[in-house]
Amino acid sequence: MIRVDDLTVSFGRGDARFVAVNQASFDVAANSAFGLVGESGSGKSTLLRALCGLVPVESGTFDLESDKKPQMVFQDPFGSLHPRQTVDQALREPLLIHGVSDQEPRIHQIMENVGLSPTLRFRYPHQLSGGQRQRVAIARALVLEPDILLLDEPTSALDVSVQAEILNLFKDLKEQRNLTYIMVSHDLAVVSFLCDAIAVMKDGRIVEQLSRDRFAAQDAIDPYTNSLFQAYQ
Amino acid sequence: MTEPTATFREWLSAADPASRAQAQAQEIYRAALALAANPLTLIGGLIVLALLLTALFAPVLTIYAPNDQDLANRLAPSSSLHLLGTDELGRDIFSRIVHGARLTLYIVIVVALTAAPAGLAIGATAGYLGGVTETILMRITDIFLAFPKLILALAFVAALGAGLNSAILAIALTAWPPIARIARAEALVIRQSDFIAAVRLMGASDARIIFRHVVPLCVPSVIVRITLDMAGIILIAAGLGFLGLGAQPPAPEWGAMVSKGREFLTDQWWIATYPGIAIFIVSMGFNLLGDGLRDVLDPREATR
Repeated sequence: MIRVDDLTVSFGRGDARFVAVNQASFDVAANSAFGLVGESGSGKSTLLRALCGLVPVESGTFDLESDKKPQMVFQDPFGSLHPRQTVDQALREPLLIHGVSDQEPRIHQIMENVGLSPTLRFRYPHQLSGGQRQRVAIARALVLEPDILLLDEPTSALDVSVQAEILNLFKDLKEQRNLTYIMVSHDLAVVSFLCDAIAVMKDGRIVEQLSRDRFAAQDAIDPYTNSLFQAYQ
Repeated sequence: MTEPTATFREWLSAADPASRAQAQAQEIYRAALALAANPLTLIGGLIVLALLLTALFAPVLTIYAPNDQDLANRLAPSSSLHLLGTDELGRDIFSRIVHGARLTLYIVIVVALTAAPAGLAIGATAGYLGGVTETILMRITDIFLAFPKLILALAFVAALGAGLNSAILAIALTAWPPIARIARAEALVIRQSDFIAAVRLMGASDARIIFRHVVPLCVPSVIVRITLDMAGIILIAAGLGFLGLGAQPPAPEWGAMVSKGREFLTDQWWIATYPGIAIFIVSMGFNLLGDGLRDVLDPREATR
């Protein structure tokens, strides 16, 4: 289980200080998916980056209860792959860093798991489609077998048909590999498809947390959450 | 250049490369095709190739040794015996220019192999790490950059003594700062990208990120810059030679040849002119090649 307590992240000092995440607290059950929704600038992506150490935490604590570092899948599948590295290099790099010996079978296995044809193994990112690139990014995040996967709008840069494929892949991988997800999105349909619990963020604060059922029924108390639901219709 | 066989060309354009080597060969092949598509680049490339071949086969291409004197036949104009005439000691100018290509190429290669990696490492480290490291490294770079190239080279040559190797050292010491600045600018952009964040999450060390992930992306603009700088480097080397501070007599260095020929410029114009033309052609060749490389390699220009 993931436990986040009063987490605050800010940038700048003095008058220029900007609080991106303000005392966020939430729990995520093991092998479940937790959604963070809100408009751009609400601090949801910053919160995600703080949980994996890409952004320093100012105050508060979080406990991921995992020996392995969480891995992340990014929004733009082109920007998250090194333009001069083949699929093989991208997937081999984490194994090299951690000195894993059985690299060949692991690369084959993970490519099969995320639905990438072996013929794509020595292609560069510019020779892949958007969906294929995102599958490579997912494979790279999973090749070290993490317990927690952080998803930063992982489908928003993809075509609608490809979005559905990737979302189904996330759903399958979660069961197969006993993963826990924290996903950031502004697409309420994507969140309600994948997530078991959802937190709504506004101006760095979590204004409301909802179960999947209440989220699907649009049964919110907070006026901002209701305005999000209305805007989405 | 040999025409690739059909099967080799298929291997180079196959949609699904079967190995990393094939994938890399395909990238180079695509870049080479794009380079050859521009006629000016092709000319520049051919000039540089000609310089390479001339330097490599200098003894085969010439009848006379570059330092063979024939005082009875000094200051002779172009003839069937001496294609470009002879100088004040009766040495064959064609032979000296051809052998001088070796000196020019030697200077260019040594400078490129020392200044480019040094500038790349310093700039990429400064740009990626930022903070105090960046401040220290870039202020050192600024100090070197503040000196006019030729003046700094003159100071080094004065301190180390005249000679080809001190000229090369002086040129290399003035050639790396612009490279470092370019590499830093690239690294500043690259460090913000998601693929660097991803490799940090994997637990990669700073050194690994800099040299395996940041540096390869800085290399194209560094190659472009050093190629364009080659013209200036050749001119500085020739300038030092002209002032008598570079290669020492009797070495057939082009700048020194121009300097000697200056005394006879009014009556025996060919002594100074032909090495001058050689300097001009080679400098232009590097410039044309550099422009073409920029069109192909610069990530801001590239469409792929």
